[in-house]
Amino acid sequence: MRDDPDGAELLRHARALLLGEVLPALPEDLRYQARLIAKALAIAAAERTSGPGLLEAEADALAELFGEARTPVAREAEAVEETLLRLNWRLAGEIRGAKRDGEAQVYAIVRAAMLARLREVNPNLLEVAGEGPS
Amino acid sequence: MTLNLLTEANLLTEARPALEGFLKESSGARAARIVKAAPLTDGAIQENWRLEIDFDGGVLPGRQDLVLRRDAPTKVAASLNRAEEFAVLRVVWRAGVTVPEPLWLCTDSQVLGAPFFLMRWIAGVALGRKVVASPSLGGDREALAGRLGEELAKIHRITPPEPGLGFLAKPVPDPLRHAIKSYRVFLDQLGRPHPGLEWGLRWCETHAPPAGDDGGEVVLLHQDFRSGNYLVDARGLTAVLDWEFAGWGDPIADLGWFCAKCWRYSRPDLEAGGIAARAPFYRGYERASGRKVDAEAVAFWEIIAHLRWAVIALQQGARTLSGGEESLELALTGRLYPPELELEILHRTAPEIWRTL
Repeated sequence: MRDDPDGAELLRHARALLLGEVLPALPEDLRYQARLIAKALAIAAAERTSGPGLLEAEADALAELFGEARTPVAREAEAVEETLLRLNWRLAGEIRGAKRDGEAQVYAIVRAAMLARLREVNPNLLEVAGEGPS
Repeated sequence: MTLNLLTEANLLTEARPALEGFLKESSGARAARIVKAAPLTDGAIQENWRLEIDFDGGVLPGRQDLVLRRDAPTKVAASLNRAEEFAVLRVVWRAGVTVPEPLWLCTDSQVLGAPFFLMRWIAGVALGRKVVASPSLGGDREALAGRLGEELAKIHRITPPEPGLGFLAKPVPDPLRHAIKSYRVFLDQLGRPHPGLEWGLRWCETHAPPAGDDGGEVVLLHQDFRSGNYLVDARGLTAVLDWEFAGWGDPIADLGWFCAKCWRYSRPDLEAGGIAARAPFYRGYERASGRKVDAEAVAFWEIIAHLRWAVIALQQGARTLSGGEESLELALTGRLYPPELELEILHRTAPEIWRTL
């Protein structure tokens, strides 16, 4: 077991230090780079904070679409990342192959997955999407 | 000489004699001396340098502000090399498009380690975010939008075959289907599935607007004509930049790209590039081109624009994966923009608006 603070907390502090104290002292031509670093830290921290829940939800929705039960046994047999890759490939192929034209359930799944990714990289835009701030 | 990256130091030292020799010979001057060299920071892809040169006689006597554009060590697929870009610049310069005057091309890699060309330096700000957010830039914004419409029309007046542009890929008969197909090929090369983008591509495939009366019209496209790729000063437009994606195609593609929401930065309400309403932009384009802008077709091509930018962003991110380039900017591009672009794509392709097929 690790001690606190965890990696997400460390990244949060690193970002605050970078933006609060380092960036103002940088010459103009390096500030853009400092902002890039701050953005990378924010995304890495958000990934750690959101944990596996989001990926699990996406995998469950995909499994339901394809009539696959994600039983505890199934979950043990295949890591969530592998399930996501396998089922998203299948979905991508079926959409391209004209088998899912205009299907509301498919749309809901891809939209939820997009919002989950957006929440990690650009939470400000969730309001634009009518999803409110996270 | 072999150089990977140019630096200010080596431009003024080891590269100096060869570059000054090239400048002297090209300009017909008795001598050419580099006074100053500074990198221009806007090139994610190309290497751009601002040079101050003292010419003794020749076609450009006196102190001159020039820009040197050199092939970067790595190249984005589908972009033109410097010799090709120089040729495009010459053609559009002759056609009266507002661009920096192209001066000399050097294809001899002995001089700077890679081919490069020189053009005149032009004052102004290009950064899209800044142009959009600073109303003091670009003069009257409606006039600027109209002017950009006119510039685009001038580009679109160039049609194949154009003697200087034989290297451009031949126009394809159905540019829309060709685009969809090529984005799918690119997605397949990325190694991860993207069902959201597939959804958008499939929607475009099934909802393509019928070809107009001029169906199949083929003109020279800029293919990156948007806020961020033109220079403005306090009074207005000073130059249209970044020609490395130029090619033959349907003029509607450039109109959709310019108006796409992803290039409006902090002003999504200003639908012509974040600087003005669509009307003055369309009016400028219609006036100078004699074409009528089909607003519905533009709206359709804006979805294609989001798909194209999403695919390019993913490709840029992929370039930085293990063993690739070391660039946080490209890495973040691959991660940051696709969800935001997909948000807009999905917003405009909801199930309610799928036509029954």
